[in-house]
Amino acid sequence: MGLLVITVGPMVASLWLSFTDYDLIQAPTFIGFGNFVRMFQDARLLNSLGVTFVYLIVAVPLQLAIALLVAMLLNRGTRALPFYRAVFYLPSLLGGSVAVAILWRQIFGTTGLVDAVLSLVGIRGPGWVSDPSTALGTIILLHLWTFGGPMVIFLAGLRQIPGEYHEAAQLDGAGPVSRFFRVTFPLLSPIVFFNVVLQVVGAFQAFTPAFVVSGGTGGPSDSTMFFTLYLYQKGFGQFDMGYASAMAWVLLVIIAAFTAINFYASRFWVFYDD
Amino acid sequence: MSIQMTRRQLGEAAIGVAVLGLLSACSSSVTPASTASEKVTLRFAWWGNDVRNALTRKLVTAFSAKNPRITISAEPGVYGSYWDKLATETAAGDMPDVIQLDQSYIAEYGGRGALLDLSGQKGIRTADIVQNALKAGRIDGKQYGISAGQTAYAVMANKRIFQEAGVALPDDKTWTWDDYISVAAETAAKAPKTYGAAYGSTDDALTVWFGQNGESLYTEGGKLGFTEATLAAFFQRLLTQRDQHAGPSASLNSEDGNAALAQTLFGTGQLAMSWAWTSQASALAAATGDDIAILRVPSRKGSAAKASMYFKPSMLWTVSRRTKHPEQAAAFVDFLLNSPDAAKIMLADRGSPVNTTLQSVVTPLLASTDKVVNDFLSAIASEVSFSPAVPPVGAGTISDVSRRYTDDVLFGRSTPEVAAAKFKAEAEGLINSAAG
Repeated sequence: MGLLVITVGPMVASLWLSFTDYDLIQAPTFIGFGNFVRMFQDARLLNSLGVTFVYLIVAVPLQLAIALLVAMLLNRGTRALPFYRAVFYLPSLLGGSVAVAILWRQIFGTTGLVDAVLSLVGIRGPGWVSDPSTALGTIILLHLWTFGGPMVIFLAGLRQIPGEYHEAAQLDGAGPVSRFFRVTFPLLSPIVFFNVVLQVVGAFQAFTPAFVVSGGTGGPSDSTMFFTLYLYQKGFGQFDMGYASAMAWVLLVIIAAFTAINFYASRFWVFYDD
Repeated sequence: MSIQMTRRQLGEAAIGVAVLGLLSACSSSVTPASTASEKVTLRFAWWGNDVRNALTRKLVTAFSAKNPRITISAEPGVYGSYWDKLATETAAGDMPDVIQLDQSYIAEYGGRGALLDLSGQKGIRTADIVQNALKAGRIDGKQYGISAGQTAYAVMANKRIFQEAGVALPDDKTWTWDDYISVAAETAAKAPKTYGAAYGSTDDALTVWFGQNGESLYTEGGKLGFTEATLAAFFQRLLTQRDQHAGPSASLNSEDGNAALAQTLFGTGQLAMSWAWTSQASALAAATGDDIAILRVPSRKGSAAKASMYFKPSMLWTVSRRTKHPEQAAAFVDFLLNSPDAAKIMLADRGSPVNTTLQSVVTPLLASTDKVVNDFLSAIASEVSFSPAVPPVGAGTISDVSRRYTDDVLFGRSTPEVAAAKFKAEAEGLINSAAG
């Protein structure tokens, strides 16, 4: 019953609304594919797709790379492992929150910590969140800061790789890089795949950091206008809920396509040892 | 004689009773519960800062004291998030009863049938209310809202910064845009840690600019009333100001747009001049801790009469069309507009009273900055020659559009001509798609 009311019901309603012109106040009027056609001519929507893709292509691989690197460092074994693990994991718990995003906006603002530190060294920093060329970068940085989630999963995966494989490879004369690509990565690849799929889906849905850091506007000159943020503005700000619903379904299709591509590509690099 | 009912008759009777019960329940929720002896709760939504919220709560208390049968449930909010919240509540059929609305949204809600036509409410007396306060909320002959207070868009000057810079306050009856820029540049150069003047690039500033050029932002018919050339000249002025170091950097300016009044560059004493509503003057004075002078806007040729200043409703009082208690809501709106008690509490916080008889009640009670505001409004009254057309349906978010193109121009991502063309196209798109 809950699934029906809270999930399926609204999804069906949203699908219906995507074929209508609905301004939140008057009853929706059916307009067929009108919303979808309009999307192709909407320069701001195409820009928001661009912003989302840049975020996806830069933030996801970088974050996973950092997560893997730190996991490998921690895997060498240190007494304070539980402590480090908790410390690195904490940001990922808070990272998507409004509070941290507000903090981030302050730190990277013109009167914030980063510019204050830079000025000590004599550099006059730009307002990172209010300059169109760097605003998206601050949001990407925020995502990188939350590497703890995937890192913990990588750590668990690394620990499952039997030490004998590494010893055997060393005996055969493999250096650390070679060992990584021939032993570690293949055995870890299902976990990497899992993280990639999850992070890609998450990246398309990113909303809170963009909303808070840009103050709900999509950043100076639409530079932080993520697809979801534009959807929100269209639906709740411009009384164009039919169009926003259409956008939501287009996003679903895009995410499904990317996930399908991920699964298809996985047969080329994911190694299941069974 | 005993009455025996067959089982069937009993069943029919039971159904009859049930239907009667349902009907009476239905009818009582369909007809407005407007009997005066009933206890009623009204939901009242507004946006404001701490000062205004406290005043408004006092208004609510004063009203409830005189009308013990009407309880007002207060729902204060913040301007930035107010609109998303209201849109969502309206979609859910859950609009508050009495709503404070900005003029850019009066068509959005009124034009879509979400607001009550106040001219049908006998409880709201409009005999003493100034004409343009009524005109400001009238769309297609229906009175969707009434102005809560008169205000004007003007230049605010921080007297302390001018003193520190050793620059005299400009003569606001004869100054031009070039004077604006050069005075700002001078203060930026001579007063430490200040950046000159704000750019003044909101849709209200555009209304002034278009008026000065014989055009208008919107026409009475609900279309755009300006040319790209005039808009491009406006953007060019912003560039000139930036290049002469008479204003903050593009990125400081962009951040400023998101800041709360007390945290803006002017509010923190880093700008010598800024653009604001006269109703915001006392909040600005409190934030900066300095004396604020209110100046007429610069004009093209140095003539105050051609400066195209106008009175605008600071905000409007509206009532939801679906309210279950229209008469009580009307009584509350009437209190807010016409009651001397309400005027004595509100003073100038929402602008100058729209009821002409109350203006003389309020004026002697005004102190410091509010008094300066009042004097200013009286002084420009003879120069105000037009009231701008009500923004049409779809134009609610025009201030976001102007902010974005201002950023584009100031960051050098667009030339003034390109920005003007895109702005016009986008504004037209917004209005056309909403009208469809």
